[in-house]
Amino acid sequence: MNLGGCLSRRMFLKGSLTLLAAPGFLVPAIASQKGDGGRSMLSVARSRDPFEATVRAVDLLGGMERFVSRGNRVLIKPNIGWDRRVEQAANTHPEVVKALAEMCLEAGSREILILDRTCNDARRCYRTSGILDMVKGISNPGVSLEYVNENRFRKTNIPRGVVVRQWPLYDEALKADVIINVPVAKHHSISGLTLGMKNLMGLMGGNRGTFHSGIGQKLADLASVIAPRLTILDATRILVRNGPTGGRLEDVRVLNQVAASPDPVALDAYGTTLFNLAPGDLSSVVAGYRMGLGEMDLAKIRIKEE
Amino acid sequence: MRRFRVLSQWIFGLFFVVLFLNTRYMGEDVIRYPVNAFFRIDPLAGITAMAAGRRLLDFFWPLILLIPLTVLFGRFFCGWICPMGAALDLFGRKSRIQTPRPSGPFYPVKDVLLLALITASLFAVNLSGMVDPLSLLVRGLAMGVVHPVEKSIILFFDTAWRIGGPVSAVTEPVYGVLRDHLLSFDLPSFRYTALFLGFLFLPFFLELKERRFWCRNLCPLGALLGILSSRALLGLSIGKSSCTACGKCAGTCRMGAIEGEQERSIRKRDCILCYDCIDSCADELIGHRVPSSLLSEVGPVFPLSRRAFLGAAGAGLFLPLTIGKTARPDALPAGVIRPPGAVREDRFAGLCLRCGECMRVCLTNGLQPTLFEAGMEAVWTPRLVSRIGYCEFSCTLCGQVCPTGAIADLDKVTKKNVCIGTAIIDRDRCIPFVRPENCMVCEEHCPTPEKAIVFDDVTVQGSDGPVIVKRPRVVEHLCIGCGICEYRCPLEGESAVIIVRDGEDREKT
Repeated sequence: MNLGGCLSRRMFLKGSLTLLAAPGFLVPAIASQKGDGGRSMLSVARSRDPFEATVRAVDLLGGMERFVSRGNRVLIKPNIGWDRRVEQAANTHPEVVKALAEMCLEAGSREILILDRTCNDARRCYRTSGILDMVKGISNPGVSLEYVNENRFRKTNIPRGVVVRQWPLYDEALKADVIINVPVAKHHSISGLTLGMKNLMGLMGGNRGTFHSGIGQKLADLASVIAPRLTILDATRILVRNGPTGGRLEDVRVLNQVAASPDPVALDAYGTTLFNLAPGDLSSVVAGYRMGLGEMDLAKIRIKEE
Repeated sequence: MRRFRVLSQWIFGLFFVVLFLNTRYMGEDVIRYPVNAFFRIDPLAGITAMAAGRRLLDFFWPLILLIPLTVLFGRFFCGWICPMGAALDLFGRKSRIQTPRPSGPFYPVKDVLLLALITASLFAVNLSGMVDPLSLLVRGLAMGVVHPVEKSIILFFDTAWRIGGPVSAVTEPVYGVLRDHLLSFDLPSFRYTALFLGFLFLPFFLELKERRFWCRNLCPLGALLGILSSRALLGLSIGKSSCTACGKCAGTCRMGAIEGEQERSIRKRDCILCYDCIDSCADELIGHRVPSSLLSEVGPVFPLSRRAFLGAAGAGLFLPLTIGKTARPDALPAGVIRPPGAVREDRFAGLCLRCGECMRVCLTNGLQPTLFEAGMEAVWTPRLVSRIGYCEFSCTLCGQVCPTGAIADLDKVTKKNVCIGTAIIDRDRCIPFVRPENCMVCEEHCPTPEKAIVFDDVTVQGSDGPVIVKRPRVVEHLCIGCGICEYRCPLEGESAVIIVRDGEDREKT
């Protein structure tokens, strides 16, 4: 369990945060997605260092211990869908994922699994995105990066589904105690934007292309059965055009921010504002709100910024 | 010496297996193993590819060593190096099979084949890869053996997983190790798998009839090496002075190379230097010795009769003569997409060895063998079938493993800009054209930095009033024909986006 220098950086950050953001620890613990007297909570942290921003965003919510318990099996689901480099903003920043994995280790989680059902060749995606080297760098047997096995999806009923009533979902996602969803904020011509709920498609098997017609409600149906306990939005740099694949650096805008929320709808609602849109512009947000999966009214979301 | 020969067969055989297993993406853009190394010492592949491809290929430079050595010593390639020969020896070693008679009805077949193949190659048609033992082996393993073997393994572990409980608790970790180290990343599947498997089985099946039946009677590479060896100065011969004609040597010879009843002699054209006969000779009469005179050697250099010779050459001419307009590059069907870097069509089929290395290494399994769709002369050449797998944007593996440059070895930057075709949209099937619904999957996956598929917003009548649908349109000058749109189209059966050859960056003449 040697975390090397990363742990010390993490400890340093945590120490300084205790001083700076002491009031954050006064917020009562949240048991469900709704915190703070029933209100959805969301945090936004800004830093040029994606690792630091991620740590701060989670700490603003009260720390990883609130979401991950000792001995938990955690599935971290970043976006690693594309054979693109970090700066091209098509995949989740590896440093964001690293911060989450290390926080989970500290919170006592037994096993941390990182995976995505990629769109390009998975080996190329894992390597080019920087995720593979990042996980090797952690070199902790508790953290593993796995390739999705196409034969390990289970047909799963979606009892609350409005349109989708059944779909094959990844076995590891069904078995995990905690799912942490880590999308990167991107322009996407199908869903408008690709944020948290869209990112959960990486745990779906089958012919995902058919999902795209009337995608809003379908994503909400999916989120009703794969409920992430925490969603982290990587907006360290966002892709504003030619998404979700990208490839042109002109289409990337650097925002240096990471948002976090236990409420998947609230997080996506907030994400729309990064692209000068409103929560109502994203059909998945509206559908998720109507199903009671979370809050979409930004005025009703308690946003904690530094 | 015999032991050294067996050791050499093992070493080269294992080397071949290692290279074969490493013919795949290993986590780096460049494959560091010389996966096609065996073809460098294949004179049949070299001569026919250079003749039919009309270019000198420095890839085959080791032939400068192999050919003189063969002329001096004989067919050591067949006995010491050839992985097919080693596999046949291994396969046939325990069974009670006959040693062949010095001549049989099939004996001239290999020479007829060789002559026909070389004649055809002079007329730019190259089919040597269909019967070349190295091509046969690589192709047979890659496209005939891998799929059924791995599929059975996967079926076993999938069944165990479904049973669950203690069963899967044991099997899943084992499966994980196999997946990481031995099995293909994705189970590859190829068209005509049964055909390739059958062709691969043929030499082994014939081995049950006679030892080295394939090498002695059918292998055109063996025929070529045999012709080079027919006067091998330093080959094996029998000291005749005290030979008692006991016949033991002839009884052990797997190639049936020892003839004569009263006086034994070794036919150098057939001798593969296995050294079995040396051990069998009680009087130790067999060994390497320089003959007193070249003229003392018997038999013609080329073993065919004049009639057979003319017949074989005629057979080689037949295919080139029957090819007419269909071989013109512009007559290739629009849907036959060649891999990125493929040279102009007529040279492509001439250079291609049909070894299947490119199809084995293809990341997405999209490279598939043709049958007759690109013409008889281009059978089993690679084409991209996008519905099975697309061409990965940043991948250059097929060009790296191609022995002859039929697929050029492109650098990554060039490759991303090479156009292998253009997408067209079938408006009779594409979802937003036939229903008031959006889809947009093709655009989503389009890898060009500025997307080659864009949308036109069109207002159509939906069930609850007018709706705006996004209909895809291809921007021809941006499309490179990679086929990921065709691959990902969510329709059942044929895609509504199809790649055609229009716009491909290939020389036409």
